[in-house]
Amino acid sequence: MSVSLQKGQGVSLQKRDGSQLTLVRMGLGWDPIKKRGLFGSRELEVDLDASAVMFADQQPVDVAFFNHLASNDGSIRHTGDNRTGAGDGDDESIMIDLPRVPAHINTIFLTVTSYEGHTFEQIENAFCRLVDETNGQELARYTLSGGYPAQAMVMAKLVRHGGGWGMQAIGEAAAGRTALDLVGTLQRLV
Amino acid sequence: MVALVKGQNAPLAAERIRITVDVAAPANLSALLLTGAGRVRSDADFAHAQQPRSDGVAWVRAGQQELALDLTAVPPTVERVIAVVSVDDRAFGAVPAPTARLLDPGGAELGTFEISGLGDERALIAWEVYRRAGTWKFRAVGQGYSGGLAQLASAHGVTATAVPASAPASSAAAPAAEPARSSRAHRGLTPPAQPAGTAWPSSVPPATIPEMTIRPPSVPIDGTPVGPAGGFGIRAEERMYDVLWKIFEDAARATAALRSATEYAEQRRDKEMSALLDDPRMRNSPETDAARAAAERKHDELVARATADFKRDISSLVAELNQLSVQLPAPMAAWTSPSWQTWTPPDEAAVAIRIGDLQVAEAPELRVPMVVRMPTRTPLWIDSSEGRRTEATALARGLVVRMLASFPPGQLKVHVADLVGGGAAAQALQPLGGGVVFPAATTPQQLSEMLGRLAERVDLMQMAARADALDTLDGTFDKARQLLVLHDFPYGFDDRAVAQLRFLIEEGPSAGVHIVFVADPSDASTLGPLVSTLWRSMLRLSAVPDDHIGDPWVGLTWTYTPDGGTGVPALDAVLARLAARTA
Repeated sequence: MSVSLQKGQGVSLQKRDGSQLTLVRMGLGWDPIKKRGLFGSRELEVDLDASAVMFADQQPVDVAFFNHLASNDGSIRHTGDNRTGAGDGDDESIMIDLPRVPAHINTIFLTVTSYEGHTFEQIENAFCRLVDETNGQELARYTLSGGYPAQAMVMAKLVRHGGGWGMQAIGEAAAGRTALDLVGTLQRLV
Repeated sequence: MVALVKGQNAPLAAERIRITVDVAAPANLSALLLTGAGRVRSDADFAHAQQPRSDGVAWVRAGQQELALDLTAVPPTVERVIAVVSVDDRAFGAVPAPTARLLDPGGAELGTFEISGLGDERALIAWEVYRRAGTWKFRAVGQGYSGGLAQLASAHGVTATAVPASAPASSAAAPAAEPARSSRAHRGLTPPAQPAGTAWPSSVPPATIPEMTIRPPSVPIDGTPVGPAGGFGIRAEERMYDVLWKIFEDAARATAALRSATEYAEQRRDKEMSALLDDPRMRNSPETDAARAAAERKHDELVARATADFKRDISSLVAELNQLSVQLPAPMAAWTSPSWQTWTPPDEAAVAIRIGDLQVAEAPELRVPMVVRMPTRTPLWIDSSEGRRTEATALARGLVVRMLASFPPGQLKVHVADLVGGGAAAQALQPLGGGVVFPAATTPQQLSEMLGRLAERVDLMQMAARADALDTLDGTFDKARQLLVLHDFPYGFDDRAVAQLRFLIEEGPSAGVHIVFVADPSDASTLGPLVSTLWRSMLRLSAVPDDHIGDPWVGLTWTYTPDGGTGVPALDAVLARLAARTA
């Protein structure tokens, strides 16, 4: 059922019965590239942070990230560093209560940033996927292939249309240690 | 006083206001009452020197010309009132920038607006007073008409013959040509502050931090969950305590969502309005009116959606709270709750007590119980300032009864110090007797002894704890928790007493000594900085409903309504039962 998105591709999100989604989870994952160095058994440690940035038209309004785990309105909650334990390897999850997203918010960006300054050349298999949290079904997945010499990636955006939401894969490289640094880039991508 | 810039709006609390405009040239004031379509209902909605009265608006000459608005008398179909200033013999560009003032009936300035950057305009909309979600707001407009009052009035539906005779010169002189604003004049125009830049990030605490941010203590004071004896009951209470805080959080966040959406809607509309006003080609055209109406409509639609979402969230919280309130154990329930009718002394100490209700302006129907964990980790401070001594004492009495009712018999003892009231505060707790309430301290000597006894007790507990010998305290040592209710800060509180008080505030809770202050903070200043800095760590409770509580999630201001008070039958009944139990 899951739609595998290509860069720039979009999909309208709804349940199989056509009704609107309520609680969705955005799972983001990545694998550090295995590098063998002097201490060969060690893997490179990469500290990546998933964030959700909420926009009203062109204006950034709120953000859920490691330093502010819930949006002020409570509709978006970052689950923190807790791993879900799911076998499909989400490293960080962001829960989005779609009906409670404030009326003026019409775009939600999902970003991954590298706090320590690692670039996506050192990371492989970065993906983001959207799961209907009410039944665990994966709705859409976007996998980033290839290494980018960038420190941050804008993975996807959720866009409000009519009474529902759609997801669009973006895959745009950006610069910044946290989502707060990406606002300028995101404004262009609204 | 608020100095507004062009396009800026502000809420209007007053229902009667006065409007003046200072112009360094002969000028006339007038007002138009406009419907949602931006037009007058008839020529009678145009108030000016020759027709000084419209519904709710009066033109008066009190030294200078003035408009007096009684907003309660403005008909509901009138959406906004615009205040207009016009000159006859020259353009505004030829005189210094006029200053428009909006005043309360007493003459205090509610807003000022320097209308700068003018060119050949001969009539200006200075202020717009408009309805917004059941209230009134005002906006600095500054939109000009080179065709003068006649053009302005007819643009809003006034028939040409109804325009006052003092203005014909300008209407005759009105050039048919494009009323281009000179670039010189334009250069002086400062655009309104860009809100987008200041809004980000909204995740930082708001600039106005409420006086007291309360936080849910998630862990009981003893660090370990309360004993297993009443197992299920305690766990259920813990869950209810958590749910109450969750409801509080959800209410705060839903309100934040509404405010964020509403503010955005207004900001977007104001930006669009300002853009219309700033574009000289767009002024005075039907397109401007249409664009203006479209901006209003976009705003109203967004606010309507946000309000509907908010109402949905709040009504769901109200329903959840109603369902929960019948299950709440007495200490967390309102005094009117049936659980007080069936209250019996508990076997286990209660998890928390209710100390009042919290409400936010947008949702008066939602009264969130404000519950604090028992026993208290930091002192509660009941503010008796501003002559609220009686109410403060009544609140203290109610809270003491709640605390006593939340502990098993004999596990909480009360010490009352009331030097100013001569022990009246202790008498209010009668008929509770010696086994529960110690004789009140009414002299400095008695207070000093009371503090000494409690401090000694904390010392003993700490020594025993360090020696891992709490068991050796058996015997004459009273293991019940001790509650000190300290009324007022009498003068002559000596250094030793101050030191003991500080010691009790800091070390008491972990040694079973808890404090409720009933005091005016200005009196505490006589105790020096050591004690006055401690206020900040305390939970301040106002004796009467007051907006001073901030939530820990988004920092909204909440109105705290104190629990109990006087004339609460259930409270008196429980006090009598507590007394009968110990008699």
